[in-house]
Amino acid sequence: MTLRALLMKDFLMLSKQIKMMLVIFACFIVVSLITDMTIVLVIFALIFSSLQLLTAFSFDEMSNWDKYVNTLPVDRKTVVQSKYVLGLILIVCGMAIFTPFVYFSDEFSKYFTLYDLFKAFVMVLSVALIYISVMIPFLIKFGTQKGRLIIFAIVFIPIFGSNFIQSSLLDIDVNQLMSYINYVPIGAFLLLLISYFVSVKWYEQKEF
Amino acid sequence: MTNAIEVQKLRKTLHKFQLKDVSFTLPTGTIMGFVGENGAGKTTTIKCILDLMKKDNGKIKLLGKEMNEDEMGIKSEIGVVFDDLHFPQNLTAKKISKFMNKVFSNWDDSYYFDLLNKLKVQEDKKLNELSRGMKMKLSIAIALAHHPKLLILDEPTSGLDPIVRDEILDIFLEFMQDEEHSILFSSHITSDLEKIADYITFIHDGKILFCESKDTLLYDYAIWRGSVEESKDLPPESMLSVREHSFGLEILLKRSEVSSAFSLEQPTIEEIMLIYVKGVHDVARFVNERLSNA
Repeated sequence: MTLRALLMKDFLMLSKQIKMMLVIFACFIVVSLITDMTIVLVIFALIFSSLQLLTAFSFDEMSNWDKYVNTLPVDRKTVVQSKYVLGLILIVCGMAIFTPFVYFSDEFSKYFTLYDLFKAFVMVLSVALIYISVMIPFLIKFGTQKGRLIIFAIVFIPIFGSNFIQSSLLDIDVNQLMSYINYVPIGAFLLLLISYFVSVKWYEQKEF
Repeated sequence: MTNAIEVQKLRKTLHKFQLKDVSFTLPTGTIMGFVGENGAGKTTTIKCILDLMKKDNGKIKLLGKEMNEDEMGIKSEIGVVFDDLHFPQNLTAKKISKFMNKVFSNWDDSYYFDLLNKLKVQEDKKLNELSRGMKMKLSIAIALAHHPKLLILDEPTSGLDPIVRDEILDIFLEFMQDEEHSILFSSHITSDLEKIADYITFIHDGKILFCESKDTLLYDYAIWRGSVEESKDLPPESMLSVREHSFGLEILLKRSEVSSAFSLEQPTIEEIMLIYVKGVHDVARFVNERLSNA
């Protein structure tokens, strides 16, 4: 019950943002159908849904919400859960809006099968899970200002390090690497679980 | 008589600040004014009571139970008002009621909207369009709408005009009509407390200086004003604190221990606070030193 209440508050709080996002989505859909690049939509869906989650954290922080919500009969664990569920709902909704457009587009029917689409869907979902698993604990522990910087650092360090990775991976067979790809969703799910427990621990230690 | 709040030897260290063995009790059915200057430890104490901060040591009971015994049970019977309304600014009073309805099983929508009506708070306006007074009135309506037994108020009237403050105090007095109800009211606007409080607890630099009934403070304490020489005649054991001014001395003392021949004035809580904080407590020694210097 309280979980539903918290989610309702987040959606009431984000309603204007989400409406704006839907208008932008509509524009993207039109553009991508014209240019025949519908697969890009999926990436937009991810970026926008993670932005909404970040916005939810910022709104809470601006109004000092956590100080207040912890005076209500709401378990600290439930507050953390609500943020994970919000993230998952946003991601799934984002993908649900776009997947049909990808499926029915020319680009897709020419090159891919339904199975390919499913695989791509699972991969994108996994990446999204990894993203929120990294994001939420840091936002809880360090707040949106510092947390955001840390998340950027975590995302960008591999890019700076790519030179090193490239040189050390030269002798690895790409096909062999690809064979591990089926484990990515399992890894993402495990990471999500670990992330949840870390977040609960950090949130329970927090003082407001 | 049961107690709504019992705090025993509460300790908490924060950077450069410490709560030092804070103890007080709020008997059920009464209002306690919790006073002290900014940074004296009022908010830290309240945060420890509400478990927003973890206490280092001590014991806190709310409505007869410790927080870890029945956190959800306690929290569903208290209403909390901070010095600001901590809801996201783009919500409205109406949307807040939808949320609170799901949080509290005994949330009373009709009472909530009655209160808003009475306090003239517009239910469809976004919070960021409401004035500070309106926000605080809304905050109080939210705290009352689940019929709590205990209200914990952290500076609910600071920054408000006298009219709004008066309206708010009236609501608190109405809440106190039920003798099971109690209020802990932190404020540095001492005149508000003079109007409604039964007890005054005074915190200074993380320590409780006194916890007395308001009537004791106002009628048993007295202020004497005069020169250093004249003060020699006052019985030393009656004096609690002294403050030096350009016109002479201002001494806080116990009325019962001083002869009625002296001209004494009834103090306000503000004066008591000032003499305690700004003054010297070892009055007899202070007077002797002044006399030997002269």
